[in-house]
Amino acid sequence: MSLILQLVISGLSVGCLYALIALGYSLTFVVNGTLNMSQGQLVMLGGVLMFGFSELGHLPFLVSFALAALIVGLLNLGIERLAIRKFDKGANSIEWVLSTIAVGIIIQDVALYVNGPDEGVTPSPVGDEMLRIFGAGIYWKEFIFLPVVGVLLVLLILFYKKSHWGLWLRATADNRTAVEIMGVSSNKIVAVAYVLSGLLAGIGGALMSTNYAVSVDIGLPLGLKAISVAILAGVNNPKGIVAAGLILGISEAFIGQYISTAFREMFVYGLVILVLYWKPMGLFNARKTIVKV
Amino acid sequence: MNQLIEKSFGYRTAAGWIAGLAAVGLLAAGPWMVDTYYLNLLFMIGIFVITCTGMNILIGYCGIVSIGHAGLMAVGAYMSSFLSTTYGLSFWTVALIGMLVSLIIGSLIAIPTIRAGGVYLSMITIAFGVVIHEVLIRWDGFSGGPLGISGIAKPQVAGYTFDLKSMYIFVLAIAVIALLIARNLRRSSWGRAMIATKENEIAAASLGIRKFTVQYAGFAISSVLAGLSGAIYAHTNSFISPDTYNFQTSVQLVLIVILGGSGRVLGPVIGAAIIVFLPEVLDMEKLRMALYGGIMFAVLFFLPKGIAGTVAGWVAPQLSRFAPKSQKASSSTASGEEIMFSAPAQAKDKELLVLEGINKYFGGLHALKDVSFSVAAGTIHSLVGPNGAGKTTLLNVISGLYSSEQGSFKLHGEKLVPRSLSAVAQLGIARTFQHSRLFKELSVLENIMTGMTKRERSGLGASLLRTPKQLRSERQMEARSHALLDLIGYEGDRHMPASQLPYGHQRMVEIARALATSPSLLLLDEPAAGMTATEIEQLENLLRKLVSHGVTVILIEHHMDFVQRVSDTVTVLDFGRVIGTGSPEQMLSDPRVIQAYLGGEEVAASAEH
Repeated sequence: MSLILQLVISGLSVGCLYALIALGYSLTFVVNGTLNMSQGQLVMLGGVLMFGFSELGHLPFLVSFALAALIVGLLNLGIERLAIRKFDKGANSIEWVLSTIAVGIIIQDVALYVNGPDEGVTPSPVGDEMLRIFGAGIYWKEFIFLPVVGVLLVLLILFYKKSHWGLWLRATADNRTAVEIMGVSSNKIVAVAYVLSGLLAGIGGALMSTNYAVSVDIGLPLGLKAISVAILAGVNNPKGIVAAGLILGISEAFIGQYISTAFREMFVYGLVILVLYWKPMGLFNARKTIVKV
Repeated sequence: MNQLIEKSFGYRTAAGWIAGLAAVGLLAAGPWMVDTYYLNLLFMIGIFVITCTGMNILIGYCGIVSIGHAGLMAVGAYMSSFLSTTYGLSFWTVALIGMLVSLIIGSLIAIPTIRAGGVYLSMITIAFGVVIHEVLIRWDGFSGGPLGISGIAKPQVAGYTFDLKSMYIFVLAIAVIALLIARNLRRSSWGRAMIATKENEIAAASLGIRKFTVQYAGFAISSVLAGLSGAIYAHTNSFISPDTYNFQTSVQLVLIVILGGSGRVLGPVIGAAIIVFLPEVLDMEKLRMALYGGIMFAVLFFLPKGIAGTVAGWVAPQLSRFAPKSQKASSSTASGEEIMFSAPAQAKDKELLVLEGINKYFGGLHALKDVSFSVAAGTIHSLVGPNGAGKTTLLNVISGLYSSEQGSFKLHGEKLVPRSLSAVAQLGIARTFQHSRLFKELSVLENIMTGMTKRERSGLGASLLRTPKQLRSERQMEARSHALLDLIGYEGDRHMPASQLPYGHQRMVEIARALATSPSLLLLDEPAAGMTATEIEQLENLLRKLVSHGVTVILIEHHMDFVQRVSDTVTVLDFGRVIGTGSPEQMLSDPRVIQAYLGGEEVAASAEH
């Protein structure tokens, strides 16, 4: 019983990170139908920067954290400007898929060149103590993800509901042309969405580095896992993504415990394929007008 | 000089063949001209050309980016190597099995992701490539783990064992066949349907083309070619390991296609040659992937059509100056009308389409309210009403693009269930759209021919091999398309890309494209919008001709004098409700109609509440 509880909590804490990263896809996709295929590499960058600043640069934890998140957020602003804006030519364009993949490859290889293949864990400020809940033992540094991500999500919702930027983001998601007519530059709003998405990636990576070893090659698999979450939920459904992220985290914990750690990823992707057979637009997706071609 | 070029222009097909044969002959002499090291590089180019020609069909024709084809190459390579090392089967058997398994696994991924659409497919294929790589590393019993499989036997035929030289010739032959297949495909209904779907899914569906069928065909071809090239590589190299087939390889394959020029038959050859020789020239160990990423980015930014596409873009206009002035096919063989309409005109008073109580909601908006009317066969039935009255929505419901919540349709007296746009199109209902939806990459003539895809489509195999039967059917379609263009009175260049057409011509060509499906019912959404007075007159003549041949037309139009002249019946819609149906004179002078258009006091008052 306590093992099951332990697996659930442990699954939830990694799942909330998946959700955080996958939300990065959703934030931009709802606004202009594009997403950054190199999101995973951005998360990696956040993690590697975090480790570099706090362990090699000896900066205070919070300063390193903020720097890592900000740098990745600003980098995504540049990516939007260079790799998205020119290539976003409507629903069927594939150029932005290719250009953001190219960006991901460049980020990863340059990071490898600068940083080397070493991996590192940033010591968590909450220490190495265990937390005991009904006999289940879980590390504080793992458990802390849940409240931190919870607070972040609340902040994100507040930003969306209360700030004028949030209003514009929601409006652009609904009808880009109408927003343009109102005299708001939709390019600017897309850029804001990308900065937000980059911040989420940076924060996700920095958080991750406090419990898991980060190295330059974690980017691609992480990005793919977050993509799986987005596909499971339907990429334009933020609430579904949070749910799918948590579910995926828990199922991974159980598969790793009872079936096999080696083939854990395969199960995840197999599941995604099966869901696509069953519901091509994701489990929780609800489209407004269905066009039947 | 110019005269000489002009004269030789007629022989340009022959010249192309001769140049191609000379190039292949030169390459075939390769083994006796270069040493083993360079022969190996040439061999690798051949392997990449085979795989990337398949991917070129996928990326360039279908507009689908797969970043997992290294995984499919691995399937072909490992499957064939495992079978030949474990069971001692011959190369020819295992290569076939490798292709087949690659096709099956490719299909398993493609079927759900094609339905889900563009970016999902790219994502899933990346994941697929990563998973295959993982599996190869971990599944020792099959793949030999990280060490891979070694000692793979070379192919044999009648006691002769292939060496690198003969394998190179073999690869060259397969690569040439693959390129010819890609070329044939581009000149067939299937190829046109692929490009049409890529450019405008909805317009393609309105011609009865199913996105899934054509895109799956593209994926299947590319899977088979990837499996084949994997098997050939494994049995030439005698050794394979998982690291040959990782994410980087998949990216490299995509890079080859877009660098060479996606959608261009020779693109993969150029791309593969550059990507194989580049590391030799640069001699860099580190940052190689970053370099590939950089090249990919630079190509997208500065050469979006790739090298082959950009060069063709420079050369084609130069050449076309020398083209013979009149390319119009002789329309003397048969008049357009004779070819187009074999069916006898139907009796006018028979009901072709009956709508009963159609309702459509968009969330809280009740867009169509109990719409009922019937359309008599062989007449022009106009739908008029102010903007937002629900005219286009009704057209979308009839043509199957939207589903209605309530109500029923009858076509030719039988119950019609508009399941989807493509399904309705196959029942003989064609439509045009409010905004131009021509396939811009295709020529004017090809646009029309795309409309005939559903009626005359040859099998995929026949299209790839360009069989005599398929060629005949292509010629017929071409003749019919010329006849249709004659019918609408299109005088311009028929081989120029549709993107260069002036607006009025675009609208007319779109109508001709819809007619190419040989519909019994034609739905026209504001065809006269943006047309000049002369063009409207032409349209009017065309509509009369169509009706005289038994085609029924439902017309949405705002030019009231035009509506009054051509219509047999007019239905007026306002706020999603039918105000009335009757003759044009009767309806257009009806006070309720005038009020709906110009707004009376009553309407204005009720709108305020």
